Amino acid sequence: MIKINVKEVIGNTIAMSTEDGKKLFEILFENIRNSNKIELSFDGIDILISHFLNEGIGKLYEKFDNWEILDKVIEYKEIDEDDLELLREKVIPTAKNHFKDIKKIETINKSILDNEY
Amino acid sequence: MRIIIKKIETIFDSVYYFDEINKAVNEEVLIIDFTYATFIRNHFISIIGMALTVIQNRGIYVKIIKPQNSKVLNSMKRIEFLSKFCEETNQDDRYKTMVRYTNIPLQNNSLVMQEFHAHFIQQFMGRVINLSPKLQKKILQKIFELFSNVFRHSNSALGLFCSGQFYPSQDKFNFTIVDNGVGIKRNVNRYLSEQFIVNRSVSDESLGEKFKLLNATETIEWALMDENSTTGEGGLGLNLLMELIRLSNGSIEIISSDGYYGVKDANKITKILNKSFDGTIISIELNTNSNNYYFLKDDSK
Repeated sequence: MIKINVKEVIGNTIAMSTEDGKKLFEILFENIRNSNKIELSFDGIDILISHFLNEGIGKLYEKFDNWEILDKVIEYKEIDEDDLELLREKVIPTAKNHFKDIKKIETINKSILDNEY
Repeated sequence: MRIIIKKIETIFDSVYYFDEINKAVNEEVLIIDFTYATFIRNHFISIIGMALTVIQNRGIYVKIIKPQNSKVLNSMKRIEFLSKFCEETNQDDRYKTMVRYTNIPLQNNSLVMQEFHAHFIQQFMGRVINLSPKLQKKILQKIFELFSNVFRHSNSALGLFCSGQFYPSQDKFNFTIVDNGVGIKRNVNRYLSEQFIVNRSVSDESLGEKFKLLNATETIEWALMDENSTTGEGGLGLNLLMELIRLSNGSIEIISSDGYYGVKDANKITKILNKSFDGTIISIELNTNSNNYYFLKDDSK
């Protein structure tokens, strides 16, 4: 399990911009491609908006083909329950709908969910 | 050139004065005379502030004549408007109700955003009766969703301007954000026409089928719908704001180009205006009594 702190990745307590969302995306993308399960902490984040979540997490659904595994590969920590609901009920379903017909180029190693180290 | 402002009560009053101020082109000095102002709705001051900034950028000197009415004068000082345009000190907002007049550039705005966040939290945390920390955070989050929309879509040369006010005795919060960017009509029609060309069939193309431009109110309604975005990437921000407005039985008014869109008491009003506004105004009113939100009922804080 790889631990990632959003605030450290973006160097900001306001998770909002496209650029910061891309920084998060890059680090999540590389780890998932390397078959690492992720613990993603939002500790220290004051404001989290939908566009940032879309850039950082929603766009993973454009790249990876196995969405059932992708749904489980990131464990969200220290996130406000409303923000988690925003992510799970709005951002991810919107991304899935948007990317459903796009050919995905990355495959997630199925053993990723067993990886604990 | 002298413009006398006596009353700004509605979004249309604000746009009227915006247009009047915007007429100044070749003047050396523009005098804004508030001497006899009896009522200025504070959250609309952002629209006047943007107009004055536009004029200043044309090299015109703006001279403000302050209101005689002490209530109006003090409000303008408490919202930190006057100090931006004349020699006047701000006044401590002892009632803690004002979201100060703020101009945020589109780029390199990290520090201003941090300051705005800190101001909003420190100013109101535990000070607005019936407003729970959870609802306060929700409102602030929606404001940042609005900021994000302007940053990404407006291409506004002067950035955005905003101001707001809590009315604790009425459990109301008003907030207005304005930009002088390309407007929703142009953005949406550009995106939809590109999509039309990509998606049209060969037979449509051979028949010379053309994209039919939407009018301004149709483009606003399109932009408010779930998942619609001119970036093609799932726009949720405005829809989330509309959801909070519905839940709070609040209201919204949008003016962009020549379109007006309003929702009040769950009734929608749209109209095409005689005169186009160069940019977009979004003005919201939310209920701040946490007890009126079913999803906050078990919020014990």
